[in-house]
Amino acid sequence: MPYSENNIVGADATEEYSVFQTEQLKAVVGRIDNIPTLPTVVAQVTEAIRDPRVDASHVGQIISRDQALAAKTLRLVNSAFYGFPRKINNITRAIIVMGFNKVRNLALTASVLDAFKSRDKDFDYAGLWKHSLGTAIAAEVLAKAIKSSEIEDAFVTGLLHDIGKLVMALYAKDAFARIRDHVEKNDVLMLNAEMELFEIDHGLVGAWLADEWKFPQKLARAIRLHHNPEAAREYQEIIYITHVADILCRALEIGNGGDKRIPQMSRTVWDALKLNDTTIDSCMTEIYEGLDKAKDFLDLLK
Amino acid sequence: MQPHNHTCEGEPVASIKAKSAEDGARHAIGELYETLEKHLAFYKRMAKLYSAQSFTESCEQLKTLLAILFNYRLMKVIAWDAASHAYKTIMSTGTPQEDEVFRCEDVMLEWGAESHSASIVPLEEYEQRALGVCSMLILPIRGGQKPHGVIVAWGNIDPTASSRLLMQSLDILSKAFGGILENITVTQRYQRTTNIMDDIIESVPHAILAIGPDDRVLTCNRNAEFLLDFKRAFVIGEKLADVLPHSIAETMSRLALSAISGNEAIDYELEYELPQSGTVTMGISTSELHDKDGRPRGVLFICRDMSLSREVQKLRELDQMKNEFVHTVSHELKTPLTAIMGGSEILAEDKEQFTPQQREILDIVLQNSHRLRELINDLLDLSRLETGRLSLERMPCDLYALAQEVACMFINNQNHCEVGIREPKDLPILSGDQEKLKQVLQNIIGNAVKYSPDGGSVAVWFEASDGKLSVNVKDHGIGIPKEHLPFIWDKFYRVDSTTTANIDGTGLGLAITKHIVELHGGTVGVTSEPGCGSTFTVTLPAA
Repeated sequence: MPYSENNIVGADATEEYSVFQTEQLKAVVGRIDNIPTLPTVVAQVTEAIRDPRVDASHVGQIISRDQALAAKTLRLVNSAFYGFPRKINNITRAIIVMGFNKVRNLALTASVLDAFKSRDKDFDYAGLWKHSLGTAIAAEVLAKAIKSSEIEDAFVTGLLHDIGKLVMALYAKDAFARIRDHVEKNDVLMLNAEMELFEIDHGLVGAWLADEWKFPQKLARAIRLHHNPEAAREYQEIIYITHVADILCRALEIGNGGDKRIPQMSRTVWDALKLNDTTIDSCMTEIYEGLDKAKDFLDLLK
Repeated sequence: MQPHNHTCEGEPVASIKAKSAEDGARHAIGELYETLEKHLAFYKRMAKLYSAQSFTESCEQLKTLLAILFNYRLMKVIAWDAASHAYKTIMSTGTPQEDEVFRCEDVMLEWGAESHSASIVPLEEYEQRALGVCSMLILPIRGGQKPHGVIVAWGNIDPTASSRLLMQSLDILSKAFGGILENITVTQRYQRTTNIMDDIIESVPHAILAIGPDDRVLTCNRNAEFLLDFKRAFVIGEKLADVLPHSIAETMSRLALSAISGNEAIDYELEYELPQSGTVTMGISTSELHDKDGRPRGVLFICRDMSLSREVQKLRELDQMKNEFVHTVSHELKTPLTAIMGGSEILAEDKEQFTPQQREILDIVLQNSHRLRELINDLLDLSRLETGRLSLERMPCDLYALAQEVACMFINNQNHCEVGIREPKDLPILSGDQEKLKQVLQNIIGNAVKYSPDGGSVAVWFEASDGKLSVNVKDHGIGIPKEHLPFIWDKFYRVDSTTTANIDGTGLGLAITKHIVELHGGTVGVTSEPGCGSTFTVTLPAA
């Protein structure tokens, strides 16, 4: 969707961006007009499943309108990561086996991965996706370990938490080059460089894109606050889980988060999720196992 | 809800359209009510599941609840059984024959147990034909840390028409059932603990009696019935003074008062007469009884028969004294004996100066001194072993080499026995006290030779398995009668019979052997047949 002023400051824009942040967003990503569109199907599915009476075949029909997306979604549904012992060959079946939310999330994942295909050589693009996939797996493993009710959404939130970095890397190359330069010279977190240079961070950029693409609110909030979880007033659990999962993957050196530092773990989050070393240790093994099984996700980028 | 788009004569199209839209809306509202009522019924019924007390009861509720949501043909609860390492059907609504037909493959069960939400699996065509249903519902049962298992149900649920509401309700049911099972398990575990506690109190070898603040008996255990000579049924709820002889009741009341004021008694001695067992000395200990919140509830008496424990105490003291005595005496005997032996050995070096009669006396002196030294050494060894004064000096030992060394000692024996050692293959090295193990081998090989008065061969062989190493010594001697076998390891025990009358021995060798072997963490064993011979086996843990 081409960028227009309305998207940020217009009546539709949330009040969550201050005037200053809006200006900065414009400065960083404002000039771009080629951010890919997300298939409308995903937003339609999100809308459709808000009705509790919606049935699987109806949602199946919506996704199947975009044949390419349906095929990619099915590929993910059938990936080793989900390990369903039989082959699932249509979306409706996928929904009744996996659940409405999970299939919606997979369709969303498939469309985002598709939108961000790139052959850009001067940025470790695969590394960032690997970090994102690691975070997705870590978030799901963590959600299971603490018996969270966010198990279904943890994966997609983890996967897309750094989408702001991708937006900048691909569509705001000048700004991104300056950020990387700053990171390299000062050995700081990418987050710090972003704040130093533009006073907005990749969380904000990602949240902006999430709004543009009409992602569910919960997802947009988690993307925005994953480095500032204490500020969360709603959707705390998913935001906390994403925060911890991101740091875990940095610590495990899964993929490339854009800098060499590990962000600080929030004490509030650690306590609120009742985490302890034993839980984290048991998650580690599962994260590695999950990574092995989730190769299909990265294949969609090729 | 597609509005009908046809026209009827005489009616304007707009009005027809409005009417059919109204019909559609009415129909939709009707459907909505239906859905609502179904789910209301479901949630009302959930309350019963939550109050289930047992597995069977919760399964009954599950059957009903699932039937509200989904008209199933057959339902099973399948759980992972850690003991047999397999999935086991623990409840089914079908007959055993049906259970055989309606099956869910292990991979699917595995997947279901690990998943976190309800799944409806459309069946393949051949399955549909065989079972007469088109779908299989899989619900994980989760609770605690590990997945418990799955609920599987077969039926004609239309997979494509299943709504998000249905899936959500199924999820709620699956979570609730898992939670209830977890609760039941915990409750049962708690009850088991309580039962065990009761058993423990009944089995404690002391009398336990609890009284409330009003001096009435709250409860007592079986031993209290014996020691205080009453029947439980008649004393509970009664005042102490009404059920016990005056002297006992008075003392106990006094002790109870002190206990409440913080002076708890320990083995307060009380003598009294029992009709059957005569005078009994009872040691009474008291302690204030509290409930789990720390509130005082009365006084607890723990009484024991002191005469019994005094007897045991006395025996222990005697045993201790005997050990000390044997140890001291043996030491005291050793010094003069060394002088006697030294002197007689010097004399024996130049036997020519003595008359034949003197020589004979000298031989007898020497022979008996040797026997005496042997006896004293054995006694000292045994007393050290029994009092724990002996410690092992462990080092790597080659049992085969030790056995060869020992066998050399018996090359020219009186009975002309031939000691043959089978060379072992890959015998593990053992960590043990070389001298002590040599003594063990010397004892059992020596016995084998000694108790084979008619000669014959003594076979020694080794076996190693499961981190253990055993030495076997088989002779073809006189053997040991069955009735003596359990006692041969006791000290001073000797099999008395005409066949053993001429065989010397202190009766300490095997007792020492057993002690040493046990000190090494090993065991001893024997099989025997009188007249055919015996086989002694010493088993030691390999290093």
